[in-house]
Amino acid sequence: MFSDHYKDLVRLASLLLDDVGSCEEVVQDAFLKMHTLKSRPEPGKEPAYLRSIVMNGARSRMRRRMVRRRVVPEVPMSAESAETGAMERLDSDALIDAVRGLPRRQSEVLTLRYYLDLSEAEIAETLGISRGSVKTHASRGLAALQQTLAPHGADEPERHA
Amino acid sequence: MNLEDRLRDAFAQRADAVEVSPGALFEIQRRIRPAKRVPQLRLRPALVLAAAACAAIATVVSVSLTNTATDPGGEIVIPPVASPSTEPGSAPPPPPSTPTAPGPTPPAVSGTDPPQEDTTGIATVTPTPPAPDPLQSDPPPPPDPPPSSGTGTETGSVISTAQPETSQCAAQPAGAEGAETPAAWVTVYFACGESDAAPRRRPAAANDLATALGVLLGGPNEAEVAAGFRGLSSDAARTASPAPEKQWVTIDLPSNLADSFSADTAAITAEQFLAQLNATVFEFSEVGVAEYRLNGDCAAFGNLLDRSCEIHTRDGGSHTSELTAHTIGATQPSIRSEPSDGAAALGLLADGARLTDRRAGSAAWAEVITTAGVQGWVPTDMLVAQPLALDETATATMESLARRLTTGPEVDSPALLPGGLVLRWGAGSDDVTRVSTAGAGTDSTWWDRALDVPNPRDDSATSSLADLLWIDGESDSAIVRVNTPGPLGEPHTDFSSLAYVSVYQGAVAGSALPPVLQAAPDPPTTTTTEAGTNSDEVELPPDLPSPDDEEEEEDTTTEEESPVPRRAQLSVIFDFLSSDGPRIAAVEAIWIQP
Repeated sequence: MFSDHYKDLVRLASLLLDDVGSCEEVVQDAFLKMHTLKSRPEPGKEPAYLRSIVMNGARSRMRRRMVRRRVVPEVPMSAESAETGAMERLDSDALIDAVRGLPRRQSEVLTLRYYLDLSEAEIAETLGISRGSVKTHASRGLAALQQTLAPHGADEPERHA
Repeated sequence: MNLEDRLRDAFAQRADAVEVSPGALFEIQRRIRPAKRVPQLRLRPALVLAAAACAAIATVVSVSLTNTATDPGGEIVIPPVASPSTEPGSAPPPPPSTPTAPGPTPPAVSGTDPPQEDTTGIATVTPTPPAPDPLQSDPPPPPDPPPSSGTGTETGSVISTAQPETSQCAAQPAGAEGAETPAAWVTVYFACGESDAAPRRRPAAANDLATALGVLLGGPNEAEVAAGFRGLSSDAARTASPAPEKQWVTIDLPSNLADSFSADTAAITAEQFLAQLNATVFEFSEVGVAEYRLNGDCAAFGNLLDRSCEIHTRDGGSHTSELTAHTIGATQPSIRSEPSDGAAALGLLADGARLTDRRAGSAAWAEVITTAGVQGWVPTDMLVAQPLALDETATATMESLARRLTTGPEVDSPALLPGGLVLRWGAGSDDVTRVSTAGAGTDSTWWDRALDVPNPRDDSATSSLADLLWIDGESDSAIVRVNTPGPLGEPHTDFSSLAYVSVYQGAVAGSALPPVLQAAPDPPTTTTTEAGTNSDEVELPPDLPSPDDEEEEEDTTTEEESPVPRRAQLSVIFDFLSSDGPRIAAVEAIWIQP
């Protein structure tokens, strides 16, 4: 289980968080949590369960980080933050940053959809939302990305269902 | 290349660049081991039984000796030494820093045999009548006076090592010359020889915690000093204010205590005083957790010891921080005996319960101790104010977070201590109501400090904390406008009721929990703020789409009912003022439900 999924989960978390150390902690927490469960997920459901914990963990980390940034605003933001330097980065980095800047659900849905290629049903299960919500968030996320990137000439307007 | 393909490429590029540490599996295994092993909990039943057996034996012996040795005419007979561990229901801990090895022989002050440590590590007392204590001419103490406040309540914690007793510094009665038979006896601990905390029994008006602390802070008397006991200097007047809350006692010590350890001639170190304090406090069986403060400040007491604010427990442990349970909604998570959903439930974690974090590295579970003395594990995600990792807690200057104060929209200002809590709300900037407890003329600019965060209210480049929250109206009819982005920058919007606001402050006189709001069966679909600054029609779910989104969506706007309760959580920064400058505490504090 570890060898099959650990690295992929860290990579998944890295798309939501901006430092690998935190990503690894989140994934390790997920494995730890699953290990301590007495009622294990159904066979075959472990990866989805781990994904859900990782998504929740990444969200929690981000929430704490936001609080900390507000508490200690004098601490400079990381050079990797979504707000700074996007213009100077490579196109793909700018795109990742733009995804991170989306509302949480939209960001998560896009990540699961275009990184893991999960189906709507799988995304819905992972995030605990309905399939309709998945479609909504995906559509809005793509639209918002286009809007964000358009001023920089990064992309042409497109519509995605 | 369309946007979707670009996204796939970008994700793949970013992910491929991530390298994981080779020791990850080992790290997980290392964390699993302590998580599965809960030695204190598993050892406890055996220790409880052993302690109970020792206490019972000692009690029987004590009663037997009393019955046989007491003169029928009422003459007082010197009882066997009443070691604290022999009192039923009382299980004082060893002071954390008490050495177990006997030290140099101090002046002889004891006529009793020292406690003998049995194989279980629990001290027992040899029931031989002691010789008269040369330090006192008082009437000797009655046999084993029970703590006046002790009801024999078993806290579930017992000592696990020997009593901090030396062969010479024993708990013999000592007191004023020629005093009459005292009303009670208290046991306090002073340093003696190499022992940081050797028991002394003193006549007192009552055997309660406040009295014992008074004796402790008064230091050893002249005879005791001559006999080698060391404690605080008795020159300075000091009083302590214990505030028990179930099994959690908060003891406020005077600020002049710090002077006692700074002088070169100080008789004891701060560490030794802590050992004496712990030993004295945990003489009282009803005390399970002790928090010490210096002039109301836990961190200030910790500074004496070059530590942070710590919580001390009966088992000799000290824990870095105090937390407050803040459960989600009406759900009360169970406190489990082990960090597992399937472990036995020890009790429910009540909203607002004070607890201390004993987490052992896992973010999934936190080991906690509640004021009721229940010690177990709760999932951290069931706590709104999650026990932060220690490094995060430290850097966020969240020291001295102590009690919890809960208010509704109508803040009871007098309930807030003048530490400088500032709340602000209202309808628009002109109507903002500011409730400041810092007193007239004292205010803070922190609330208005500009943050480099886009202001969702007016789209300007910066915002301030005052932009976070507006509450229009009162109580359940209030309309809340959340002007803070979510964790990833997503906007929130209006909600029709405020669940509650929780604020952490170092010293708050009391707390009260508001009723948990029931989810509205038919939540309003639109709300309008009164300030005129945001009069758009809005929907209520936390991650609301904007009207623009609604228009552009054609086949994807069929939102199904989400199983997740529609709530929004707002991270609010509250402002605390102190004499040495602003002290900031940030707590994810507000739950808002439609």
